[in-house]
Amino acid sequence: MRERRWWLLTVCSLVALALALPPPAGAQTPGMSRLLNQDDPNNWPTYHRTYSSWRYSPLAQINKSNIKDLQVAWVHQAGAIIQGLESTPLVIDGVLYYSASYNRAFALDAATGKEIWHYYAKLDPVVNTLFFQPYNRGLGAGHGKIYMGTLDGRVIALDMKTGKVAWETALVDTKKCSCNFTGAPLVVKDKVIVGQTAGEYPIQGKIFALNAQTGQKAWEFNTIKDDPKSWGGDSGKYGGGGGWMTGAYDPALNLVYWGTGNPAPDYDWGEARPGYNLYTSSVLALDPDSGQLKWHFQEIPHDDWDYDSGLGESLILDRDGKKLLVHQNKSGFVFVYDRTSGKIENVWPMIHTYNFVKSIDPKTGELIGRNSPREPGKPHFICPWIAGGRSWNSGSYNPKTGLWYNTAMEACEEVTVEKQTPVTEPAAGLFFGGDQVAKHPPGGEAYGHLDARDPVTGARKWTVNYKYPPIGSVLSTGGGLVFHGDLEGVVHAYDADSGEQLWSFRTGSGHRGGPISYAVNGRQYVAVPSGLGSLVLGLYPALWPEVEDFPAGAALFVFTLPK
Amino acid sequence: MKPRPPETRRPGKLLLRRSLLAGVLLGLSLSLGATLSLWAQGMRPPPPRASAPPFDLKDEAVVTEGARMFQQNCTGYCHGREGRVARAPKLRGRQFEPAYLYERIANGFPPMPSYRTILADEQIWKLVAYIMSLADKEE
Repeated sequence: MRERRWWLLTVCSLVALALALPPPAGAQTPGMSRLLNQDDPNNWPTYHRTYSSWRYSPLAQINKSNIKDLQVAWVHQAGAIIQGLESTPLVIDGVLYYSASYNRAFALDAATGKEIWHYYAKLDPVVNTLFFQPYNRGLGAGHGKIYMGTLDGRVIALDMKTGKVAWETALVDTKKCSCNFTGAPLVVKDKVIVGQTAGEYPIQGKIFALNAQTGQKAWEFNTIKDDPKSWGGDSGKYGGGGGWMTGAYDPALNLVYWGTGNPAPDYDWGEARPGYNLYTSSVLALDPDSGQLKWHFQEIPHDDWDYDSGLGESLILDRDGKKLLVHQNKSGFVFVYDRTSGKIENVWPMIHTYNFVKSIDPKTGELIGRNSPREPGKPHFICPWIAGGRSWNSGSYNPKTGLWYNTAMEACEEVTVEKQTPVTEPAAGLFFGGDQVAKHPPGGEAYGHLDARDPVTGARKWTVNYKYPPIGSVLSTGGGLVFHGDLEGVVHAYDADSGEQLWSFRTGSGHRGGPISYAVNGRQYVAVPSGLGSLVLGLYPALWPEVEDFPAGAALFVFTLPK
Repeated sequence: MKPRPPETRRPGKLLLRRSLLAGVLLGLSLSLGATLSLWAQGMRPPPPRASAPPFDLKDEAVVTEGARMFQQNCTGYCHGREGRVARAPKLRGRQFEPAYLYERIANGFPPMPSYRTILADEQIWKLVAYIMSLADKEE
């Protein structure tokens, strides 16, 4: 008995001592257990805020009744405006981190916008020869570090407090492959996961995992399956794919969900790449510890249209006892899976204008009545256009309304397929296998819309139309609001229940990034990246010549309520 | 990656080789430093001087080949088909100096990529020939 009391006393003293001492340096930065919980409503710790990819902030201080009073708290200028501002910021414990073109990264006081540090990557001049540049779509955070994929093929870890480089790892040979990293890394437990660009180049695209502490490569997954049945002849050598956007993670199943890029060449003149071309234009479920493939579903077998699965957030939802994954393919169709097995639960179109298939079987996911442009030199009318039914910008799922707020584009194109020989020397050259020009849909003008829909059935509650198809991500909040910036440079706040516009603000340049919400010292903020730029914008002037002159920019507008 | 052959240097030449190597490295690092410095300031390194076109820019075969290369490298997301309006400058119905086009293609103009390490000199001139051929084209 006496011995037990002694032990108890010792343990109590040690605990008291531990509580009295300042925590060790590492403990002040968010540990993975906290990031995994992602339950701090004040923070936005990962690209889609949570591993479930909802882009939903539970904060409700800014709400339907007071949104009319919203005003600018501060503005930060990234200084590099080429290709605009495509990223989504992160906020962790009162510090806002965001990235901009040319791999600029900033840490700012989230309440005032005052800079804490900045990091401008020294990039290899090869960047200037690439198609995928100079934009960056976001950062990863964890282990006291900020992670950024670079335009010249590296992943860099920055000390969260100082912005100093903790480690850097070159993952691809950009000088050779013309490929790189533009998407936000996903931090899962002790790993940083990131996928490369590839789909428009004659290379093999991969998804990588690195040790988050050291930068050492843990595994890589080749999105080009080594299988002659899937890739006839030597076409697999040039198969493209990759995984250029950010995936999702289910901690309970320990599965990472990642969408893959389109096959190369984008178009097939008939013999370019015989087979289904696995694992391009697919959703993968990977074991984050080993990189092992647990299941996959190819949304577009033998993709003939550049409708890749690299874009499209992977919404993790549970409904009626089912563990679901909702993933939108670039074709404008939304695939609903049982996320334990990859079995199709439903497929529904989020656009009205499509002719690349007659339909997709909602029970099996099979493409019915394919309309493939195959005749070289002959223009072929296809809907949706190569920018997709939606681009890589994300929607937002609000658990309070049960609705998914998502943008869509109603536009078509004329594709002309041309036989092309892959160029790999001295560096990989673009490998489209044809080109296209944007066209209005039959009998009407192209346009875009923001819809509130049930993510599983597709049932529509409300719609807001836009003249120019929007390419910005959506934010929804616990305050019953939906934020979305348009191509003309106006950010709107809508009533999440009705779609009624409650507030708007002109930021002066169009929106391509992701708005977020966070709180510091009990005060809620909404941060809106503004700055027009994007490869897909190149398609717009054929339909609306004035878009040629829409101004670029790169500014982060942060709003709050008056004190 | 190919393995490097074993080094078989003779001791007498080592010093000379090292001096030469140091000189080359110094030169390279100075020029690289200058390039990076310009890069960091968002400026472009000075353009290489356009060489003379190796063929007649009006040669039909050259223009045809240039058109094929233009479709593969320049249209899609950037310049419009056959140089029509796009987010990148419209090239149809416009007058350009050949040397200007050559230098713009070789050096790029962000976000337009630089093609001098991707395309051979002759290929760049084929693109120039094609773009020149669009000067009198209507919409």
